[in-house]
Amino acid sequence: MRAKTVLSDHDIAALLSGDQFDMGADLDQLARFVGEVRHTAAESTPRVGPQLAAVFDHGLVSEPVPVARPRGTSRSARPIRRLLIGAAAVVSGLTFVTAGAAAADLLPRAAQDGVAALVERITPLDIPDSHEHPSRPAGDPQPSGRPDVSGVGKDAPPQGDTTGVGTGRVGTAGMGQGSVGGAAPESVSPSSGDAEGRDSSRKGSGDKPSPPTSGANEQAPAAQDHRRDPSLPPPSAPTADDNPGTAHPR
Amino acid sequence: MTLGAAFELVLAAAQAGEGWAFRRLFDDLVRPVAGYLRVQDARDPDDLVNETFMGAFSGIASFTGDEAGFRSWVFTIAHRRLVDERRRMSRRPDTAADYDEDIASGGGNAEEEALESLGDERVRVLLDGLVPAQRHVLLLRIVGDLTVEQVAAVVGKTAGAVKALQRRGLLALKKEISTRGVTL
Repeated sequence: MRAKTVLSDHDIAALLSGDQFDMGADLDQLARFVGEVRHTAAESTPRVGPQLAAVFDHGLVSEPVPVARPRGTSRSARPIRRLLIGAAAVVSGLTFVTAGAAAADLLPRAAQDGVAALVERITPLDIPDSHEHPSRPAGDPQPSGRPDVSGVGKDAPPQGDTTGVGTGRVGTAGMGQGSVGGAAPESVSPSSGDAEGRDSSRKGSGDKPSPPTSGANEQAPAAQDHRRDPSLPPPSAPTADDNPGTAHPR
Repeated sequence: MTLGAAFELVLAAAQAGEGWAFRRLFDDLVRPVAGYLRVQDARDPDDLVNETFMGAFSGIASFTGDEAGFRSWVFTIAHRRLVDERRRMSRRPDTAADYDEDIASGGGNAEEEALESLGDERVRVLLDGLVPAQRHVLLLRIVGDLTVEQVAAVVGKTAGAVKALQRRGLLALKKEISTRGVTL
């Protein structure tokens, strides 16, 4: 009998299936071992547990057991939920942008009026509408450099109050020239004065002179008054002396 | 023992929840499944057998295939339960309390089990000399009567890998038998 060091596919198939054939002495031992394994395994007679016994006696509803999920998180509901969340996010974003544009008075007149009416109805916010800017043409959006008029209603004096115009100008100049001794009106906060100074310094450094755009809390009513009443002197353009940024570069 | 042509009818009845059908499927496969788990030296083969069949019966509504496929599926569940048990045991080694519990649960079958274990000892000694993958493959082929392809599906390997494992496993056993002079 020759000793096999390599097993052929045929040998392996015969060994594992338990087929009886002359394999040689060395493989006979292996074949007996395989038979012993099979015999050992066949001795097993496991006890049936109570759960299985109940299944055999009463059957089993073999539908997949539903996994407890939080409401609205089933697989079929997920795409719908994602869609709703996305739609809500888009609507919220549009609302925020529209309200912001309305607060900045950037919308066309019709839209501005609608949004202002809606926002003022459901919130305590004061949004400017077209009646507050009668000279503005319909459908003409406000230029982006326009000052934030949301602050006008808070800090600006009542319309027609020429004293307010004057105070505003003095206040602006006074804040910008604080070191010169200009008397800043108490109603103007130092922070707004700083902002004015910075803005004026920017504009005063070679830019085309134009009415200061920020800090218009005081000047915007003056311009409006001038438009309404031609007899009033036109607001003077800021000069280099008025430019606090030039006087006190930061 | 196989169900043969009756398998489709039995499977349909089991999927409808009929208790007798579950009993037929259990009787058809319980011996090879229990034998596989026992020869693999599972800690509590009976519990694993019950867990295996409960798992199979719970999910039987989603099963599609023939009798060979069902056999392969049940062995897949049994093999995974065995692997899970091995992992648990490796994390939590046996303690004295576990040992006492084992003896207590053995009850009146202790003597019988001891005799059986003496008979199994030769087999286990030789099987312990194999690497786990070789042992899994050989026992699924021998005890489970699964084809190479079915074993590959159970252990998650390719058919070529299974063939190589069974060849190396048999050669290792042959060498071990010759070296130890084990008489079978």
